[in-house]
Amino acid sequence: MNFDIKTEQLGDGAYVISLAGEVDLYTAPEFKQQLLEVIGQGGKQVVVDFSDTTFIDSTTLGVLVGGVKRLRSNDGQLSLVCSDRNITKIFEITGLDRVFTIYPSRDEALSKLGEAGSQPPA
Amino acid sequence: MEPSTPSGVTRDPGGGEANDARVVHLTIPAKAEYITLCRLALTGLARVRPFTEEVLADLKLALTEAASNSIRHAYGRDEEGHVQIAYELQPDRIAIEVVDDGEGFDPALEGETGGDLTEGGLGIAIIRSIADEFELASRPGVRGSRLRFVKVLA
Repeated sequence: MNFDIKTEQLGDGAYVISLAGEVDLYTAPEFKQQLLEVIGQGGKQVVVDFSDTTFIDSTTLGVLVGGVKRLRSNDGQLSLVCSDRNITKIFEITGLDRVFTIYPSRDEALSKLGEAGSQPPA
Repeated sequence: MEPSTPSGVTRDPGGGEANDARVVHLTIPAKAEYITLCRLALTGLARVRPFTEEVLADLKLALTEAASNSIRHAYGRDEEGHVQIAYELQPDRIAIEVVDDGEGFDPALEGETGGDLTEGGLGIAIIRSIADEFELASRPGVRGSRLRFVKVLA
């Protein structure tokens, strides 16, 4: 199957979820389950890494929005890693580029973890 | 003499410009696991009529949203059904039509992104944004939906 998901805990409340392949109506439920699990375990700084992702759709956006709502109500934050123009474009079309901070590399996203103000207001 | 075409490829019987169109038909079960096939067909068509990488990505996204919409709305959890996709290749454009025979829905409730953070309903807005032409015929209580979009090719 052209989809893979990996979750890593980096430290106290910091997690990276890496998605590879295509995320759509079929595969997004697995992503949603992982994200909710991480938040349920006390995740506050969550990075979703799309570096190896080849496709996302509105179902994926729905999962991200659900995650950011839960995290914000818990003083947490969700940031994204993506440098693929075809994927960042979807955030621009829907206006969600104003909701999520999108970093071009995982290193950059991790270096900003926990910094106040790294998450723009809704 | 007309060259033979592979199974599933037809000449559009319509008149005018459509005479130059090649139409490829794909029917999938209305299940999420088959949506990837819609995108694979586009990858194949890009070998017949090359698209830029950006256009191919746009088409994959819009078609995925259209097919997902049919699968989510048209058929109940236990209801079996199919989604039919027609890829109509014309010299200067591609038209894609997605048809189902399931429950209709209210397009007005699907087309707005709204001001608040929403977890759904973005699909139609995405297609509208990507396509050069867009039509949606669906009504709650009336079976069958038809969504058609056109992307002009450079």
